[in-house]
Amino acid sequence: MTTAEISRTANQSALAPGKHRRWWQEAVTFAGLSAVAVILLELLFATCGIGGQEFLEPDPKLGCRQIPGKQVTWRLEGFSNDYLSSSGHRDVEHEQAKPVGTKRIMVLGDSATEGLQVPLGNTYCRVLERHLNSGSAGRSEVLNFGCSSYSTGQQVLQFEQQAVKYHPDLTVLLYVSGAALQNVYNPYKRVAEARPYFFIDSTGRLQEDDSVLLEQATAMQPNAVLSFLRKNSRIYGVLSQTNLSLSIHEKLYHKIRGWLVSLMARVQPAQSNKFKRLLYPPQDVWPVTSKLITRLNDVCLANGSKLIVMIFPNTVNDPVQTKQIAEFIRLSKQERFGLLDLTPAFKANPDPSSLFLQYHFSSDGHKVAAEQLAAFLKNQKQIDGTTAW
Amino acid sequence: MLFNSFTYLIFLPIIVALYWLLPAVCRRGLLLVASYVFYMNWIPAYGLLILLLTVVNYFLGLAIFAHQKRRKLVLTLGLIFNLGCLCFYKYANFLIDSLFQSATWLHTKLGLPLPVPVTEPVVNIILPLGISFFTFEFIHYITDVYRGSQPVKNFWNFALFAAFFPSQIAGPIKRFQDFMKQLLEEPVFRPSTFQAGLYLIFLGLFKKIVLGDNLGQVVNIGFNHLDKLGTLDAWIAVVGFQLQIFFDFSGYTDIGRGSALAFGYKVPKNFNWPFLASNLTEFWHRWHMSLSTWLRDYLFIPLGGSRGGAWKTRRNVMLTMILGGLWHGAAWHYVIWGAFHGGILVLTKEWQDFVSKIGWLARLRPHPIWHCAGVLVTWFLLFMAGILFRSDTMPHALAMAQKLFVPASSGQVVPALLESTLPVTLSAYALFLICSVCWERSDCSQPDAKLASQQPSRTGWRSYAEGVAQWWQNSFAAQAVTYASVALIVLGFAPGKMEPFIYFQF
Repeated sequence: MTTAEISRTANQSALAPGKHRRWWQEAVTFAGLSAVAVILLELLFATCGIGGQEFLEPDPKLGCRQIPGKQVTWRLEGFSNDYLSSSGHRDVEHEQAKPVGTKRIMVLGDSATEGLQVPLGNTYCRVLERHLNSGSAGRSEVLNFGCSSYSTGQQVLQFEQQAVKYHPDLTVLLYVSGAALQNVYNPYKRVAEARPYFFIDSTGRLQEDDSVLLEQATAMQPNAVLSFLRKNSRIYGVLSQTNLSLSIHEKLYHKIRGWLVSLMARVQPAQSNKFKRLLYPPQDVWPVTSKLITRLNDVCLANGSKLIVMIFPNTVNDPVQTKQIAEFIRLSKQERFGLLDLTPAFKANPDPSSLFLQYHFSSDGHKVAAEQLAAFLKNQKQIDGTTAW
Repeated sequence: MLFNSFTYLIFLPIIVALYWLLPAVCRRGLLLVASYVFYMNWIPAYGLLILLLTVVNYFLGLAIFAHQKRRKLVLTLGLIFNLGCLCFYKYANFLIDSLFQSATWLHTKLGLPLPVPVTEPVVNIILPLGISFFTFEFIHYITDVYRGSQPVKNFWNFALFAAFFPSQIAGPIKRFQDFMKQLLEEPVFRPSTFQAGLYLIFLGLFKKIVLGDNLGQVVNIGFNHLDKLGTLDAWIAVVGFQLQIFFDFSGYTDIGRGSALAFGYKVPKNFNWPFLASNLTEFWHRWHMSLSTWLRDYLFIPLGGSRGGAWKTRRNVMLTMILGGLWHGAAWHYVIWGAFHGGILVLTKEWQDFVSKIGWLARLRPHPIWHCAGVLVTWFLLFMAGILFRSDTMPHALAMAQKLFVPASSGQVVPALLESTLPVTLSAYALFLICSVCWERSDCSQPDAKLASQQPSRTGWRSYAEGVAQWWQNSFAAQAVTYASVALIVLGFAPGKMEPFIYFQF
């Protein structure tokens, strides 16, 4: 409809008498046109790389996981267009069995490690692997197990359940203070994200709390249609992304959604009551996190791997993170794991802002992180010859 | 409340549904309440400001009409009041900053004994949304009443004219005579009008979100990282900004006009193919038309217009454009932007006079190549002016302009453009425009005799397309699927975060 026609139609004194169509004709038209529209939209979105940001699916043990083999086109911050590996990681293909003569570094982390904001080849894991293989006779593999939204606790469980099977010689965990906040939750809160949480019991032991996962187990059960749409439909990706974007940016939407979720929980009391939540006093983040790191270190050592914790650069001088770094220094000495704080290197860069996009590393940031890690590995070898590197 | 927000997505359908379900007598009241809810959604206290301005201007209109002998005095008081409000909210900090900078310069450079404070004083004011627009509507109202128009007797009708939410925040600047005529005629629900409104809303959302916001991301990379800018980057950023501001503002206007049509009201058009203008004078007849006609009627003509000879005309053009620049924003680069436009408008007039005096040049004027050259020159001038408009400071603008002409290898803007969806969406929009033009030109039912003579008979594809359009208009299912698809396209191509409209800051 053109501008001239708009004014013409707006000027019409009454609606032109149209033929009244029967309801079944309208229903058939609706069905037919909807099918055509779906096909055309899927083609359009696929061609333009739209709706390809849906890359996580529910996981009964970890809360969520990346969808194996999914093509992801990322536009939220930065840009990338790559496939996840067949094992479901932001990585190139790796056999589970370690090739003879190859040394493996397993990298755990959240979205900062996953690095969807930059092309796969520019993530610090890929850069590090190229770096390590360029200068030495031996072959090295760097495996990227980073997954968006993972807490430190989920990273530890991921290592115990999946990563050990890859027999890493070295394990690197990129610690982001925001991820640690998700290790604990308030059990009295009605709505909580489906993931394993942790707490320290009255005897001082670290305990896992899966009650939220169990509570939402029904909703998380594999649904064939939903799984298919999540993996294959761009329209589903657009709707899912819109839901996320509105939840973050639109207060009213967030309120309405929260209200609906609460309402659903009240409407279906039978299901909610099936799984009683574990009740314990509110937890401080750091004691739980330090116990998780200790546990990861123990599991690494038990499986012949050495742990290095790399700390996400604190370029904004966040006091909470500054305090955590001090705690990490103490813990690393006590538990004897490697510690690399990226803050000094990032601050020393002539243009620190170029190392980040909004919240995540830019390609330059990934490069600096990889260089720092490579230098750290080299120094560690010089300090104690017993390390894997 | 933003037109591109979820809140408006809920707000508009509720108000439209209530509006048409309620008896006619309640509709104006509902629209008035809705307009205040819309405005007070941001800072509720500012609802009182618009109410105060409405009350004062209502009585000013009546007073001007009632006291014909003292109408000039009342008008002057009214202008002082309206402009005073605008200056206080919009220009207070600009004036303080300019005075402080001048005093500091005089004190430090020339050693004048001035009592300059150590820190710059700042007045904590948040600019009320749309104040520049509704102040201009009030000035138009009292001036027209002064010139002989009948004032609005019914306060509630006047309040609705002042607060009407589809045009409240960023225009188009309405004329009360047109609006009151529609208000008194009591709009009747017509599906065709409603459909036209819906079409405009979707078109506006597409322009704003899919084109404007995505262009904004590319433009921001260019303007925010001057040090890493190559020549091609700079050109993309500068051209991109001109397109961004067009899509942003015309998108807003389309949504506003579409929303008004949903209630059965028509608000004026603001754009008419501005990038086809072959000179800057023509451009201002096609761009932000409600502002340019306001500036002509309430600033240029009262200043003397073109009645007092060549020099006075030039002075009036310059003053009008400088004040127009200042209206856009309280900063010196807006003033210079206005002066740039004013200067080019003066030069355009001189050039046109020169061309008409030189025979062979005058004969070239009707030639299409002459027109195309004019369009290209106009684009270039707009791009240069756009740098002044977009930059935060004058040094920033100069640095950006320098980047255009100093060869340097490409940086971040080119990859950002290629990675974005813009190559596809801009091409799709260009195709849409071409189809629109073909459709209009092939329409023999148009009253344009010239066009009709060019197309003596309805072509086969035209009648086929009209048949499809007729079928579409009569099928609720077809319309539902179409609008749902467009909505999905807008959502899919939207950047992660909704951006506010550029003209909201004015």
